Amino acid sequence: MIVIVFLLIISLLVATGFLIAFIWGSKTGQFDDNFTPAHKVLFDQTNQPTENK
Amino acid sequence: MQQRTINTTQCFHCGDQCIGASVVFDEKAFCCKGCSSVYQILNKSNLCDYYNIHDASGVKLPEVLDQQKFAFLDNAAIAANYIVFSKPNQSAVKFYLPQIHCSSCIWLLENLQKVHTGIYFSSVHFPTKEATVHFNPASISIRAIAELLASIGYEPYITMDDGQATKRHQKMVSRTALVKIGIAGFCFANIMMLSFPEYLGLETITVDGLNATLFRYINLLLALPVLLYSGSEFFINSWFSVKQRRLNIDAPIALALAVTFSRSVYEITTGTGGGYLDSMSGIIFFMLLGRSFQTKTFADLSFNRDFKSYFPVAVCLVNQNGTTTYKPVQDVQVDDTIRIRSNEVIPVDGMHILGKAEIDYSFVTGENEPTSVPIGDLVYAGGKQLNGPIDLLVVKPFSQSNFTRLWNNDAFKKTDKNIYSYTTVISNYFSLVVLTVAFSSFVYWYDTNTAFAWQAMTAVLIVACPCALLITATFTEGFVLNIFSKHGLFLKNAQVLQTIAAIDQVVFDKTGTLTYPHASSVTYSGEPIAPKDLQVITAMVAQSLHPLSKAISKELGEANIILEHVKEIAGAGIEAWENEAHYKIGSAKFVGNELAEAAGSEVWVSIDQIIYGKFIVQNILRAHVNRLIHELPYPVSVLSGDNNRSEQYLKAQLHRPIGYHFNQSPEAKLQFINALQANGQSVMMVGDGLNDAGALSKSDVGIAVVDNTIQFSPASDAIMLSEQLPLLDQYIKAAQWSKRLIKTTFVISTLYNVIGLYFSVTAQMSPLVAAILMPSSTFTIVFSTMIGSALIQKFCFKPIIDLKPTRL
Repeated sequence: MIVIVFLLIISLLVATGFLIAFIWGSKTGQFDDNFTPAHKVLFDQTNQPTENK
Repeated sequence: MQQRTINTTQCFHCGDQCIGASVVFDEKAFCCKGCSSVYQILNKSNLCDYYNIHDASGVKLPEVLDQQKFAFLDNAAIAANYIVFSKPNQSAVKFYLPQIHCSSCIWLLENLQKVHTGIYFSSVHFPTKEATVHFNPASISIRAIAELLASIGYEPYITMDDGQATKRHQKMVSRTALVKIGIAGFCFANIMMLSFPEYLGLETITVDGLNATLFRYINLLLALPVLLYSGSEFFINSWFSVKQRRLNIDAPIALALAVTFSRSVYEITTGTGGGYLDSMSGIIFFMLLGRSFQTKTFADLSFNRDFKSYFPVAVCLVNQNGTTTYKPVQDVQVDDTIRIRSNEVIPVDGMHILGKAEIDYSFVTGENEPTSVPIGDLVYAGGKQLNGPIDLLVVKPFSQSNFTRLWNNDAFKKTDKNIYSYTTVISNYFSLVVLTVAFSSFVYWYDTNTAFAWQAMTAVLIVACPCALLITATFTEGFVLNIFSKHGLFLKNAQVLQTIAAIDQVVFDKTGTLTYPHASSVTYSGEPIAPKDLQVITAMVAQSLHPLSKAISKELGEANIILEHVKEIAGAGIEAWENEAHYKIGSAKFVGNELAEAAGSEVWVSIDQIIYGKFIVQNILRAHVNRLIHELPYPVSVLSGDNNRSEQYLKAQLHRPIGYHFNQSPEAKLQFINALQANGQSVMMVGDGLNDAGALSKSDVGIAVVDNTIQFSPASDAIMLSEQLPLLDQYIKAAQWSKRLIKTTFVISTLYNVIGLYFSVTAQMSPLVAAILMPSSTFTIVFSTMIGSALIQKFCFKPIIDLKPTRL
């Protein structure tokens, strides 16, 4: 039984860690804009002239 | 390098059809010079990838780019409003760019450093359509950045009213809501997991000296943040409602939460049971989820703009020595001399001292014809100057101008609308029934078993709180709101949906709402005009800013010759001397036709004193509007600030007798709505301009019609894209069906409640029953509202025109 209590506390701690990460993420505005970053990663970094259509 | 060709290809930049003469550059066709100039800027900076992400994604430039438009940003005090942070070698400025609409925009705006070396980098915030530009103040000014953005099609939208502070506040509010949901969800899930011994009846088994009591105390600990933080708004709202002696929908919920929590604490501390903390946190979690869904705000739309956002931020001040400086509008003082350029709105009342004043007061009065004001006369705030720069001597400061006073008049203030909410009504009855049942079961058990009596009463309150009803309403309204916004009607809040379902009178504005704001039909009647003469007339109307000239100019196309001797007489017409002939176009009186009746929308033509004929300019109805008027099952009225010359046209087009009211001032429109409401009618007002703003805010549902979401719209309950106007009847129908859907799902949730109540009043309520009932009723409700909304979308909306994709 004692091992269940031990596991319980561990699981709650881990879950709390994720909760804190979520709170930190929302407070710093990481969920404010879910459009721009999603598209930004798809842009190629080119510095030389590219062929136009 | 530039040449003109005639074709009907798509513009390489903006994707519009190139009508008539198009500009060709680099073997690519552009619909106008603006589009090709954007392309040239991008081409020079190797930014043509812009076109590879989306085809023809560009934003069209306005016809005339005003060189002086952003001059006021040179004033450090004004510019400071837009600076996010500032250091000697790096500053950041934030602009609202309403044209942002796709990923190409993001790509271009985040590559601004390639266009100008003074820019370090820039970042875009898509939902609010804001761009933050980091730059070196030593090499580029804020004004230059604004002009650079404008030159590539993203003109910053700067008004007095759209303060940065309110936006930041909104952002904070939505973040807090997210955290509240997160905490409630986290605790709800963990409490459910830790309640497993209770569900399985294992709570009494003791192993190694430990039993489920520990789990219960952890549950209690987890429930605290849910109740005190996530659920705090229910208690705060109901406290306010009690203070105002008016029960709102949060009050019964707060009561249910308080009862559930106290009973759970009692059971846990006395060791008599596990409590109902799982149900309690579940209710809070689903309620918050439903509310966030329902209050989904359109971050870039503003429903509360007042007249201030219509005025310029700064005015151009003419100093004693003739130089000009810029000053914030609020600081303008009496006896200052200010300069108003073409197409600028006059912010203060002033005396006209220089230039040719031709003022379009349509935003104030609704009258379309510009008024010409002689030197020495007063020009009033709210008008728009059409004909070149004028100088005004300020006679009243901004806060006291006639226009500002009119708007601060009580009649125009946003009034507390008579809130019609059937959910509040139902929930009040519901709470009454629940309290009666709770009290009766208490009385019934009291004699035989006091402990049972308490148990039964609290169980009734726990099981039968009106949460199910609220979840029903919030989810249905959330779904329907989403469907509406996908189709191009944006509601301010879910309340509006309920009000739309209950209207019984529709009032339309005419100009700009039922008719196209700019497109007009131009017909010529009279003697045919020789091509050589037509060229001259084309050139004459092309150089004029008068709305009638513009309409005719659009019809005749671009001018190929440049006139040397041309004179525009304000309020009369234009005359020119060309080909050794004397051309005159304008009012009947101006060309010398004394017989013709004075009618505003006719432009007469005479060459060498011989009257040839007239152009008739008429606003035309939007496509399919006649179908809409015919389909609406309510009395319909049309209000117009214009004179009644279009009455015949409207009567011929709309095959239905409706009320016409012409020459309506903004106040008259407001009084008209007032009179209908005094008769007990629930009125929907559909309008577009500032002159409708009073009526829009007074009406039960005010819908502002806009051509795109960038455009200025007066304060209203809903914003509608103009191409959706013909579908208005379908929206009303959908709103009515959503009301029926809420009622149906409410019946379903009541069935669950009856089952729960049976267990409660017979004092058999076990944690397991509560744990099954609560989530299953919630899921049934969410599921049925989802299906219902999908059916509403399928059966209420039958497109009669090809819907353009919404550019939000």
